[in-house]
Amino acid sequence: MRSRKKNWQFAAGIAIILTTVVWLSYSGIQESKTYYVTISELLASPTSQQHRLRVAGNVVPGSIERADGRVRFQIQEEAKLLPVVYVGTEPLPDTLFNDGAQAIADGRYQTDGVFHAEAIQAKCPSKYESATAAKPASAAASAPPKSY
Amino acid sequence: MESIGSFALCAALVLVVYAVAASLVSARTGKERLQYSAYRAVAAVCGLVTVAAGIVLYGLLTNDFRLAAVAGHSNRALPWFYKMTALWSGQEGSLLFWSWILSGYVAVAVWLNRERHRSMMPYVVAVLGAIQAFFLFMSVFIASPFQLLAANQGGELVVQGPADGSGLNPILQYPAMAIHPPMLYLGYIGFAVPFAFAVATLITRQAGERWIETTRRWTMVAWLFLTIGVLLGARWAYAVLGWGGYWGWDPVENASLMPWLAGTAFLHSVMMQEKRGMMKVWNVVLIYCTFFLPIFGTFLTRSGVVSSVHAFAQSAIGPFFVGFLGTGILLSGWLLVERLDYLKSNQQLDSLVSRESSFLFNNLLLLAACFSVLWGTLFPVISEAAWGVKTSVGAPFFNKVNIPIGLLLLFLTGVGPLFAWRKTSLGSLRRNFLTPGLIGLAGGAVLFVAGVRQFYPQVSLILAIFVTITIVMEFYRGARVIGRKAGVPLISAAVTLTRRNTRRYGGYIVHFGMVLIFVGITGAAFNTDREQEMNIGDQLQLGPYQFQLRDLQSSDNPNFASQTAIVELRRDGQMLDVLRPERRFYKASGQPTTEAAIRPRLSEDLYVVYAGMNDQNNRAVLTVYRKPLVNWIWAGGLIVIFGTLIALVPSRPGLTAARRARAASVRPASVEPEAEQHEVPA
Repeated sequence: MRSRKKNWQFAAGIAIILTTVVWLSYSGIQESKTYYVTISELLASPTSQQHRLRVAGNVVPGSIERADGRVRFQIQEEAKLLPVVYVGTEPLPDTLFNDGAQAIADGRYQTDGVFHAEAIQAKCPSKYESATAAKPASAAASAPPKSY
Repeated sequence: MESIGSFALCAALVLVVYAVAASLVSARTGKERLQYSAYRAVAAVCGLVTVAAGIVLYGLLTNDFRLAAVAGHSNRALPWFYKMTALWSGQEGSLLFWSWILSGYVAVAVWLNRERHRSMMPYVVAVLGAIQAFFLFMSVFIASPFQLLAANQGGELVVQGPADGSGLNPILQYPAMAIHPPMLYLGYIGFAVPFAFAVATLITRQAGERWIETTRRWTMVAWLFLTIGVLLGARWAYAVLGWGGYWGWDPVENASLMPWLAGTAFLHSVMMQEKRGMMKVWNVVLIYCTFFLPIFGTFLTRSGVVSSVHAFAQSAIGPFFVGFLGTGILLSGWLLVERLDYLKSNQQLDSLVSRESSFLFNNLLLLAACFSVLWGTLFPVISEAAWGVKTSVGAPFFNKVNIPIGLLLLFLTGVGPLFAWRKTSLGSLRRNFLTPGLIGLAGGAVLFVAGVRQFYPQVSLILAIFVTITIVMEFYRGARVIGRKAGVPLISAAVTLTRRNTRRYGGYIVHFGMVLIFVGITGAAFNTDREQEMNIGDQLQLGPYQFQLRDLQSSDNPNFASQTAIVELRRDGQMLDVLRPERRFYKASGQPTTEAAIRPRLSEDLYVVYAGMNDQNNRAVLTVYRKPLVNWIWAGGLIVIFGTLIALVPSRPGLTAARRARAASVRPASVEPEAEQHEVPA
């Protein structure tokens, strides 16, 4: 009998911890869940202002400007353009300023028609390909390695 | 040269397959000579992989750009030190590097244990050999480090490399980053040895605790490397990436954190099995997790299943990793289920307030943290599969779940080691925790008055004080007893105490290091920052500090061109320092980087980033951050390393109090008053 009572105590302790963790996870997910959308989906969808969104596009060359301490630029996907303002505090990635950089912006699409990005990642897809003139000799060459 | 390398790898693959087969046959038939030939094969594999790795290194150092692995990750202007690190910068090189470390581990493990565990060793060699065979297979057939480049000359393909390589990614050109991957790999792969022993134990139905005793040091060494690796990664992110943080919950970071969490849980729960014969199944599951998680992480980040900020080489290795993981997990899982009866626990849990219970909850929390990290990392995949929409979760999710878990763990760090096995009496609770608890609360009150009013930071700092006091009291109590008996000063008594039970007191030191790391992380709650566009001569104010832009200077060298902002730092008008944040442009890779200027102090770091020029008005953009306590993380890390090293030293129970007393009795009497003095505070 005694050991059953003890087991019950342990079960209760474990249950409390697990419930708390699950509850924290659930609310954490609700808070920070970010939907991946394309620029055209974002512009077409009427509900796009309700969620956190992640949108990717090519940075329009020459569109990056700094004003009032904020960085603004436009990203492009085919013919669709999306103005972005960066409202985060971390310095922007260096590669964003390269020609042909691709930006991934996390944030919210506001009623002013501007995407307010809290975080921006940049990818520079052709970083090494242009620098290496030669091609792999083997046909089974893997994708061009980018970095470590 | 490259054909010798390729041949060495092929030969190694053949030999390792032979070693596996010979071991299995000898286990069945008991033919010892076959087993010894397997041992020699394993040693030869180590030699052959070393030759292959040496040839790649030679190619890197001699700028042999015909090799794809060299041309892709090195260039002529790269300093020789970083040329060597280019070995593990690419996919092919890092797989070879993985094989290399594993072959070394296997050779050492076999050499150390060949006489001690005769019945188990064939299976240990078979398991390790199978893992080795997988990585060698990848290097030979899928991602060869000896692939040559060719150029099209008049319709004919000729082996020819470019005139110069495309260079090592500049953000990797940093000392901590150079040794970060080897440390991580040494950690990841090190867990293969305890894993192999666990499997061999299950197969041969050895007495349950032997594999744990045998691999105790392996586990600690692997854990130490992994810890160093994770910390170096954080340090690198902080110093090099220029975003002022050290942890971003990126999939690649998470991939290194998950095995660390599982490994930490394992290090703790093995004590339950050693001391009380409990949690046997659990320990096997934990070592499975610790071994498979890094491989899973590698697959996750390199196959493109989840996207990462870190530009990892992505390639076709994904399916092979899935196959390896799937086979491995199925086989080892089946083995576990098959042997469940033999893993029956000898004991039951007695009390909620006991050492056993604290280990149980420690494990539960570490695994919950590990699982939440896994869940968050895989969330894009899960949400797409379950709801058909691709979504991801970010730092708020990870923080929300892991901060409370971390604080509970910190609490257990304080109470767990002082709980008695089986059941803790009320008297001992009062004796052990009344003082630390009161001091912790008093410290909390002081902090509250000083303005620390956020809930989590407040709790974290109170717990940090509490845990520190419990650790100090443990050392003090033990040392006082020895000091009294032997008549030596408290400090040297504490050293004696530690040497008698290195594992326990080394563990306390590790715990203290973790406390410092928690304090450092807590400091992030008080970060402040400011960005401003500045002409030369302009000033920026942050807290009590003034940052004045004095000059912008340009410079150039073969590796990179750079522009440096000269920033004078004053506090309340008093000149303190000159900071030089920099922007570099690396020529070979065509990539710009940010070199932050950091003024490190124990109380707070000042972190200055030169973010670039505003082209419209030609003003420099400076971002400055105050980062309180961040250095405590690195200091704590060093103490964790120190504590682990102490725990690795064998204890010296022979150094008894009686002997110390005899040694002390011949000392001059003048040391006695000193010992007395130390005891006055009691």
